[in-house]
Amino acid sequence: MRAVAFRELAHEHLDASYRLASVILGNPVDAQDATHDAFVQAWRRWSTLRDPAKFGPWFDRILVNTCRDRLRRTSRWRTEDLSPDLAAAAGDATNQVIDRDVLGEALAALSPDHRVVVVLRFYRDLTAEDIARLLAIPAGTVHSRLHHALKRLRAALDDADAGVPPDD
Amino acid sequence: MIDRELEQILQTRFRAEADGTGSTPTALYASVSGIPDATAFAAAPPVPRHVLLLAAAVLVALVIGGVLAVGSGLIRLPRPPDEDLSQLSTVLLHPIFPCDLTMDDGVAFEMEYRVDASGAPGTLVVDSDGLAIRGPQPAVPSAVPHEQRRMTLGGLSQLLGAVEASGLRDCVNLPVPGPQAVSARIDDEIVKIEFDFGLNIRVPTQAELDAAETLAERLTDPDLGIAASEWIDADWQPYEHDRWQIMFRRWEGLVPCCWTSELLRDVPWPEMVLPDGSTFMTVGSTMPIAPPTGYVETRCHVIPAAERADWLEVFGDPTSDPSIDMWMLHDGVRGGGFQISMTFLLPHEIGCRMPSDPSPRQNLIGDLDVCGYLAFPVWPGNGRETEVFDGGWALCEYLAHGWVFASRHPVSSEAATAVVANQFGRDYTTDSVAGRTVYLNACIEPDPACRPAIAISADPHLVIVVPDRQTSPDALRDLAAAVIRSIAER
Repeated sequence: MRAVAFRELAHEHLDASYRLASVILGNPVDAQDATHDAFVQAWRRWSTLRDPAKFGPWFDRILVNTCRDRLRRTSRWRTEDLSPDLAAAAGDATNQVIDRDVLGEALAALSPDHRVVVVLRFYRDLTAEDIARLLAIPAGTVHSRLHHALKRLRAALDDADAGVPPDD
Repeated sequence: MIDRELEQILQTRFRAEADGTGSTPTALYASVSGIPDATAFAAAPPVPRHVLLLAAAVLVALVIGGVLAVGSGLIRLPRPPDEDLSQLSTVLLHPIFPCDLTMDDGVAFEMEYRVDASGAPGTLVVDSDGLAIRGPQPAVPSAVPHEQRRMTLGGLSQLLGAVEASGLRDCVNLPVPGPQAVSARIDDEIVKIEFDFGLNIRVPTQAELDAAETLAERLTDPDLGIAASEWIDADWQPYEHDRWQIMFRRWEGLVPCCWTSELLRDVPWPEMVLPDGSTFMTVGSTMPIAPPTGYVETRCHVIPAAERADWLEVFGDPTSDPSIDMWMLHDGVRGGGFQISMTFLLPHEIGCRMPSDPSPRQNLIGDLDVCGYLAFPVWPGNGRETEVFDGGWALCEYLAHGWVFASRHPVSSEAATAVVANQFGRDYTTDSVAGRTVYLNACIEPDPACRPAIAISADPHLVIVVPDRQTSPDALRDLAAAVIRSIAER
């Protein structure tokens, strides 16, 4: 019965988990591996899940930690090509492509911890308090990481607008 | 650039990245579905997180403190430090979940086992009249059909007698290959034995191991070790299910998170009439079970097998795989829908049953004899944290007032002192109880929810007790005395 319950919840959450991993890791191949690894971890820890209704946040923590560890191990970040639809939908296509590339590089330069917090805040739309609970860190730490991450990203975009070449 | 602009850019970018990822690969669905069959299951009980954190922290402290102490030349550890570190680094500690000592009425014997080479879980049930039915558990993908075979009451007596003769009781978990778990009703008492399931929760005696091997060998025999003369049917025969249970989980508005569009069927369910004349909103009865996130109601209905085809016609796409037993029906115009699953019922199963309360003995055993492991690696430094180490820590029990964690291997009192000093810092006092040094700790973490804990140096094992409620220093000392008495009696 445990296996049945696990499969049911895993299938229910697989799509969103895979997408979250893709955004954190930046490419679908790594995301597949990380998502699978996270579900393996979830199965191994299955009986620590006391309330199946809380599978989502419980598994999110496992997944995010798996992705973060993967980022730390590989120490690399690949920017993804975005669909032209994004640039077109967001306004001037040329500027958006420029912004996108700069933003990709700036995101890649963030530490794994900063990257995770930014993704959870602006992809998952979680509050700082929710992120704190998910990552089991103080809310103040979340605020601090967000502040520093956004500061770096803003500086990178402002430099690009001013024609300053990116640091290498 | 102002913050709001940057935030909008990030939101747009991330959503586009997620959309650009495409559908979840089928291979990922398949690999995740196969995890339970391919990966060892780790069992754990509902231990409060702070308890786990405490014990893990102490274990980490033991490793760090012990290594540091050895490095300083001040402390002698019971084993060479390299060995300690290499072994403890792979420890996974899992407390077990509460022992389930319930059986359905009319069932005399039940066994969980692997039905095929893929490891798909199955169940063999023998009712009190001697009818045995075996096959895959519901929703398990397996080509193995269900089978039945009737034994005499004498044969049933032989089967139960074998369990009784083993002398094993009360969810004992033994590292012996065999069926996963066996439950038997013996003289109105339920006995449960687990084989090589999860992790070893305590050090078994040789007598227990021998008894488990004998019993496992018997139960893995297709004839269950029952004499041929006690089988009414000469061999196993096909069994056809006579009833099915249908669960309807309803959601409102948008489809619950994460179901891909390929799995959804768009049907006008509010107007649909089901085969028994009911509607999706009135079918069966409401179940007071916690639905998965996103669902607002669960209804359940039992149907005879003869009506199954009619219901399948409502739920399933005629072109879909006939073996599918779960459907997602969605009203694309008005929103809302149902996740529907259909599973067979065995003869003894009532179906749509409310969750049962634990038996009194189940609680008793939970109080007296729960041992196990923490549910996460305590030392993930070498990347082998997912390996299971069947040694090291942590024999544990739940005594009257709290969780007790004990080292499986001897720990010198000096090392224990180093652990406590390392973990508790200055925030502890010592006392002497029954000749043992007892360390009383006010709180292990800066958390208002943290409860006082104690650590007891009880040569040759380090014992840590975590009370399950706010406890006064006097009560802590009483608890320590009780633990020491318990240890002395072993």
